[in-house]
Amino acid sequence: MKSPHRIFELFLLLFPRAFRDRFGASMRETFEDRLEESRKEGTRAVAEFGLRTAGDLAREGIRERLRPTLVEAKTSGLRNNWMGWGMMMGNLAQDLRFALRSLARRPGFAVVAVMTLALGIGANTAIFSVVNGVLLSSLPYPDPSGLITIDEAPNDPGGRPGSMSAPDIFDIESEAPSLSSLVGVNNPSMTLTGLGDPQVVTVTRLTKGLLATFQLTPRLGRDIRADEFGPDAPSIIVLGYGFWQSRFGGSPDVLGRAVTLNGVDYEVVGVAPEGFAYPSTAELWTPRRMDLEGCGRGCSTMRPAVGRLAAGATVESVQAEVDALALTLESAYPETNTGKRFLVRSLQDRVVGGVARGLWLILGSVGIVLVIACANVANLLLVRAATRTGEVAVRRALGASRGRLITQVMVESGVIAVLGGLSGLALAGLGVQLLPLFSAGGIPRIDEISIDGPVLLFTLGSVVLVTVLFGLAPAFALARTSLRTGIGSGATRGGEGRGSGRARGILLGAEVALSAVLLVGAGLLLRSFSQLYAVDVGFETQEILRFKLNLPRGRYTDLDQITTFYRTLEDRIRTIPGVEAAGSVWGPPLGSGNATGTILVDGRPEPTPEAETEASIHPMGPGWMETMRIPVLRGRGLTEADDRNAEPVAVINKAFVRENFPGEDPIGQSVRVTVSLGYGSPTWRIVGIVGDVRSRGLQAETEAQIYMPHGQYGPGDLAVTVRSTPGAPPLLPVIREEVRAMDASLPLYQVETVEQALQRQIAPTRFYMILVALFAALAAVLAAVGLYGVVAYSVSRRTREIGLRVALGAGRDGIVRLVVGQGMRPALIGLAVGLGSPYWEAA
Amino acid sequence: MDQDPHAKRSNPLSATDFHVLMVLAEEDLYGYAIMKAVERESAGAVSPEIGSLYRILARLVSEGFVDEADAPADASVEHRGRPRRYYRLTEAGRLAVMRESQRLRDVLELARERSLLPELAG
Repeated sequence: MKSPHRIFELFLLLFPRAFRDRFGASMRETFEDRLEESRKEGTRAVAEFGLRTAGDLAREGIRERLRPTLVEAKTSGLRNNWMGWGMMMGNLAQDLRFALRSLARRPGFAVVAVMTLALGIGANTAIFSVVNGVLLSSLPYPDPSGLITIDEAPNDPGGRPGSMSAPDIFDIESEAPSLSSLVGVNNPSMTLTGLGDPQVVTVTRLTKGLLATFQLTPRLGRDIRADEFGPDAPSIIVLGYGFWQSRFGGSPDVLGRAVTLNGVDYEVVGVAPEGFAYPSTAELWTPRRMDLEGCGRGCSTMRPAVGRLAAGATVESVQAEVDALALTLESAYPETNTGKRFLVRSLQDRVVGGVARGLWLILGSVGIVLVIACANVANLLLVRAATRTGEVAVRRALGASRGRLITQVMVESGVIAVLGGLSGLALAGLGVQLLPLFSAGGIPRIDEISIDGPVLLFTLGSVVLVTVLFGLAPAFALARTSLRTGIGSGATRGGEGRGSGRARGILLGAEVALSAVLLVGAGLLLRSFSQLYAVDVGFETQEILRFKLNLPRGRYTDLDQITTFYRTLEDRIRTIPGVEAAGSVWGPPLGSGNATGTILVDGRPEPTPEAETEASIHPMGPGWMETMRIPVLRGRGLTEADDRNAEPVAVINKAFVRENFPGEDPIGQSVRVTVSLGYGSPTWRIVGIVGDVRSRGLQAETEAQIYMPHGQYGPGDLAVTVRSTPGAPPLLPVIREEVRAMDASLPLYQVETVEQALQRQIAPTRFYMILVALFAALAAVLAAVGLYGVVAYSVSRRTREIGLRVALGAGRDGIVRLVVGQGMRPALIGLAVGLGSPYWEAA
Repeated sequence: MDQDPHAKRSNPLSATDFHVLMVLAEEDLYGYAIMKAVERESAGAVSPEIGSLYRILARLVSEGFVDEADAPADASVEHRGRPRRYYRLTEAGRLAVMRESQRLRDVLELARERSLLPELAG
C-alpha cells in the first residue's frame, strides 16, 4: 500500500527544495485524493494514473529546477523576471551542448554507458511487449471483460478441467441469473469437399448462435437462430471471414450456396466479421444436432462453454450460482452428477492464465537486468564524477549554484538514457520479431505482440526511471564537492572520497548479488527443463511420423470396410523403402482427440459413483505397439488375429492394474468400458499388460489406459503411425501417394513427427528457460564489466601509492592481492547474498 | 489599465491559467477540487496533472493573482484530520480574468462578424 506514496515522494524530489517546502504538502494531499479516485475505477485506472503522474512530475520537476522559481524570486523580494522561459531554454540548450561535448570527449565511456542501457531497456521493452500483448491487452472482442468460460472442475487442485455435457450447459444458462448467455461448443474434424482439394477442417458445433454472445453482427447474412438447434436442426453454416475470402473470393453471393462437409451439404446463411475466431482456430460454425435423450448428462462432449455476464454480474457471482446449482443437479441426477462441479473463469484468464506466472517472472528477471545496467552506468558516472571534482569546484567558485550543477549532471544522464532508450527500442524491435520464433507455439497470442502505444510509454517510463536511478547518485556526489577538497585535489590525481568509494562498492555488490539471483534462477529452470526432457514417455520417440485420416461415414458404412481400409494402407506403407514399421491408433500419445470411459469389471457389483474408475480408451490396429516400441510386460499384445470375428480382447497398462486390480492377476479377467465409438462396446478379456505411456502430456500423471483391437471397436478416424529407419528419405510424399491411390478424396491432417509433438509440450518451459538464461548471462557480463571498471579505476587512482609500496619493498604478489582483494570484497559479499536468496525463498 | 500593477501580464492567459482563475473566481478551493472543477468546467479539454497544476499555482501566486488561504470556517472537508490548504483569487487575479474574458469576447465578436460562429450568427 505504501509503495505508490514512496514512488511519489521520490518523484517529488525532482522539484527544488523551496518549491517542495511550500507546495509539497498540498501536492501529497492532491496525489492521495486522485489515487483514491482512480482506485475506485480499477487497477488499469491506477496504472494509467501512475504513469501519467510520473511523467508529469518528472517533466515539471525538471522544468522547475531549470529555472529558479518565481516563488523564490518573490520571497527574496527581487521579482526578477529576467530568468524567464527564454533563459530557461537557454540554460537547457547550454546544458545539452555541454553534455554532448563531454560525452563526445570520452566516446568509449559514452558507448559503454549507452550500450549497457540499450541492452537493459531493449530487453525490458521486448518482454513488456509480450506481457502487454499477451496478458494486458484485452481480447479482440467487444466488452471482452464480460466473456467467461465454464468447464467441469477438476477433481484435484492440480488437475485439468474437463469437458461439459450439453444438458448441464442448458441448465446453467437457464438457472444462473448472472449469465446473459451461455453457448456449448465442440470442434469435430470434418472433411471438406467440392472446394478445391479435399481438406480436413475443424467445424465448431454450437448449442446457440455465437456472434450475439460476442456482441458482434455478421459481416454478411445472419447468425444461427435460436430455433435452429436440436435433432432436426437444418444443415446451415456460418463462414469465417478468412474462409469466405479464400474459398469464395469474398463474393457477396455466397449466401445460399453449399459447403460440403463429410458428404453433407450445408447452406451458407452468414459470414462472421473479420478477425472473429472462437475457438481460436475456428472458421466454420454450425448448429449442433443434439438428441438430449440419446447423449445425456453423462456424455461430456462439449468443450468449455463460453458465455457473457449479465449487467453487474462478476465471475465470482456466476461461480457462486453454479456452485449452488451443481448441488441441485447432484441430488437430481446422482448417477451422472455426483461430485461434478463447475469452474467459471474469465475468457481472458482461460486463454492466457496458464502463462501469466511465467511471463511476470520473465519481466521480473529482465527488470533485474535493467537495475544491474543502471548500477553499472551509475558506477561509471561515479568514477567520472570523482575525476571531475576539480572542475566542479572551480565552477562552484565561479558562482554556479548547487542546483545548477545537479541539473547539468542530470541533463547528461538524461542524454545517455535517451540515447540508450532509442537504441534499446531498436533492439526491442528485433526482439519482437524473434520472440514468437522462440516460443514455438508455447505462448498464446504471441503473434499479437508489437511495439505500440503502451509499450512506447513503458520505454519512456524506463528512460525516466533510469535517468533518476543512475543519475541522482553522481549528481549529488558532485554537488557535495566542497571547494577546498575539490580545488585542492586537482582534476585528475587526487585520492577518491571515501563516500563515493563506498557507494561504488555497494553498487557493485548489488550487481553481483542480482546477477547471482538470476543465474541461480536460470539454473533451476534448466534443471526442470532437463527433467522434463528426461521424462520417460513410455515409447521411443525418434523417427516416428504420424497423420490422421477421417473416413466419411457416408462412404465407409461398416466397421469391416473401415478396418480393411486401414489394414491395407498399413500394408502398403510397410512396403515403402525406409519404413520400418506402421500401425494405427485412436487417441495417439501427446496428441489430440481421446476419450475416457468408466470401467466395469465382470463379476463385481456396479460401482457407486464415488468408487468409479476411469481409463483412457485406445483402439489400435495390429503392429501399432511394435511401431511405438511400447513393451509388453506380461501376457501378449494385440495381433492381426484379433479381428471382428474373434473373441474381444484388450491389453491394459500398469496404471490400469494398480487402479482396478491391486493384488490381483488381471490377465483373464473381463472388463467393459461405458463408452461406445459407434460400433458397440463388448466385454473385453484382458490378455496382456503393457508399459505406461505419457498420453496427455509430460507433466500429467499417467492415467489408466486400455487398448483394444480397432477391428472390434472402431472408429473411422485413426492416427496412422510410421516408424522409419534412421536416415530414411522423406516418406510423406510417398505416403500421400499411397493414400491417394486408395481414396483420392481423403486428405491427411495433423501431420507431425512425435518429436514435434514433444517439442510442443516443452515449448513454454523452453521459452522461459532460454530467456532467463539469456538475461542471466547478460547480467553476469554486465556485473563483470562493472567489476572490471571499478578495479581498473581504483588502480589508476592509486598508481602513486602502489609505486611507493613497490619502492618500499612490496612484492608483486602482495600488490595483486591488495588490489584484487579490495575489488573482490564487495563482489564476494554480493555473491553470498545472491546465492543465499533462493534458499531464503525456498525456506 | 495603465494603472494596473500587473500590466506586464497583459498577454493573453493560457487556457489552463484562465480556467484555474475562473474556478477560483467562484469560490476558494483546495488542489484536488481545483483539478476536478477545471476538468468539469472545460468539459475535459483542460486536465492538468499534479505537477503542472502546482507549478501553475506557484506562478499565479508569484504573480499576485492567487493567494494561499486557510480553509473556510464552514469547510467540512479535511484531509486525514488536517485542514486543507486552500487557494483564493486576489483582486489582481479577478482583474486578469476579467481582462481575459473581455479579450475572448472581442475575439468571439470578430469570429461572429466573419461567420465563423454559424450557430450564433443569426
